[in-house]
Amino acid sequence: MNAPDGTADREPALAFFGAASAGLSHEINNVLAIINELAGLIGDVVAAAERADVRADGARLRAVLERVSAQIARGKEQVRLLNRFAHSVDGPTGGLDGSEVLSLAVALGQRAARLRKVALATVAAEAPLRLPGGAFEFLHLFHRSLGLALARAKPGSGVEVRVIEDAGEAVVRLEVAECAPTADAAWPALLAEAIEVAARHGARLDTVLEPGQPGHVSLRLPAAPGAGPAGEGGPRGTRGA
Amino acid sequence: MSGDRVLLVDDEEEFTRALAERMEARGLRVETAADGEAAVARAAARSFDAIVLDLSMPGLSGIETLRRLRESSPEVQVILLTGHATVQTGVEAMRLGALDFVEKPADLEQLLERIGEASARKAILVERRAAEEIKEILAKKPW
Repeated sequence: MNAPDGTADREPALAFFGAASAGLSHEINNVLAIINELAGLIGDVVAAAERADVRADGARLRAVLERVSAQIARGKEQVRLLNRFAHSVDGPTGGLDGSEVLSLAVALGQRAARLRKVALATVAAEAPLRLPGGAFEFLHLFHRSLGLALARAKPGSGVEVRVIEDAGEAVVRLEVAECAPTADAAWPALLAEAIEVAARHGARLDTVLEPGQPGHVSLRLPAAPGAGPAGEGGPRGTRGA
Repeated sequence: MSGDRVLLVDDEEEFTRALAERMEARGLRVETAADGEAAVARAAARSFDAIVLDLSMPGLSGIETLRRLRESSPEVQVILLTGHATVQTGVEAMRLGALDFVEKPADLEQLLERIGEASARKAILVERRAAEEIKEILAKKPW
């Protein structure tokens, strides 16, 4: 039951916002920590050369600088994801089409997958993804669906994401290569909450997750308003900088 | 502190690689592990003066790794690394016997200071345990 101010709707969304932001900030902090050590390493090489009154080892310095550049590229990608995520609340779709939102959703889920030792990948979409609501709402629904798949995936296995069309509706299917032998104690609450969040957005969640077997979590989205049968995207807003 | 044996545990392998290079340049003997399971196995195979452990890792969490390390070797001295220390995690870590917390990005001098403290504390604990064992043996033997 929603409170008159919409609190009940807002709280799961805020929890998702917090989890996604924390994950991205953690990744960015890791990049900074590495750059911090590499900068220290450069300082060490220079200080050693000064102490010995010789020229610093140029080849070694260049090798460390290449490692710094790699981390800067990694950090830039994390900041790009953070920016896209922040703008997912802009306009009807955050300025992104369905496939871009799906790609963002998968990128945001990579950290959670890595922590569970599960490989997360997207399979080329078999059907266009038309978003019935805003980008942020889809990201939230995907996050809940992925949470279910990861909670039951066997560590070391994989989850593949594909979009299929079934009876005119888009279905985002998260296919688990192998389910873990047991579900943890939090599973019933996790499932109930995900189903409730999906229902609030007019979506439906189905799960087939049997121990030791391949399984899937299917997120069936309601038809996008005004979208043709093969159209992609929906209204496009302005992409934020 | 020079010559101390340190185990760095973090799934960010570039981080442990760079930190290990800097520590080795200061005379420490450093090994690395990319997850909790590997850290527990390394610590079972060899004694370390200090273990620097990231809290957030794939598989075993930092807290669970700390618990297992302390179970198998109560003298082990663990310094936790974290990007986002919370009071709750801090309390749990201290309850499980972590020596200290260091926030990422780490200040190397601060970290080395903590490793020095860890090493000294471990030496005292090992010495105390050895003295107790000798005392027990003496008490049992009818000299």
